[in-house]
Amino acid sequence: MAEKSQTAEVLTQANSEKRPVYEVGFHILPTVGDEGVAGVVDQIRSALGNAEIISEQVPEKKRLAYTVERSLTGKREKYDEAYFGFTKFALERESIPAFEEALRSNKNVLRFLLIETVREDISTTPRRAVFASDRLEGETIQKPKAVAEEPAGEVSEAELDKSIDALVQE
Amino acid sequence: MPQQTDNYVAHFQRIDYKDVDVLKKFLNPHGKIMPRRRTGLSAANQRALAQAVKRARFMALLPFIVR
Repeated sequence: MAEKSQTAEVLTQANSEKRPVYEVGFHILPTVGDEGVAGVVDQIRSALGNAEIISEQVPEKKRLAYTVERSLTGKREKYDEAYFGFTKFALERESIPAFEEALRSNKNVLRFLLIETVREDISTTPRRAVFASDRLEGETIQKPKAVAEEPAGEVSEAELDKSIDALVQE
Repeated sequence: MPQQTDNYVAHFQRIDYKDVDVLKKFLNPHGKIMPRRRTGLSAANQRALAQAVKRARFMALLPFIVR
């Protein structure tokens, strides 16, 4: 029995790694206030069920780029700002429609965007720019240091004449 | 210049709709996506940029038009 549960555990672990990774970005109504935001986030989390949450951003109030309108119960509502947050999670593909429905029916969620993405956090771990040449990798090109010129030694006139004569003779 | 912007994007590895400040660099004053000849991006990155800008517009992080 114990063996069975162990193998089941191993299986679920393997599944959790295979599960596609999604990211949901959402706007929460400004009317819920700073205190109410956490509650709405909890609702979204509970809608995710057994999903593995990879990363999260606490919603923060943002001015919207344009006025978002929506009509619920025949009344038109207009919003100029909202709490924007996002959650990255891994979940079976079959559970996604139910999750979307839960978000759609949540009246405190103004708008949401669900996209499939990758597990790695892309915004916090910038990749190095790739250069065609290895020579430039990890190094900034230094300006060649100016070589201090040796002070020209004093040349006597006799010596100068001599060398000029030598040149002329040639 | 073109080489530079593509390296710039490669630096971020993937273009994300939430990086509004990055996306704004690739919009003209009307909020339109700049053409490839202006952005200097590779074809793949330009497609990723267009996708990201459209997502950001839907989420009201970027405007559809600026008059």
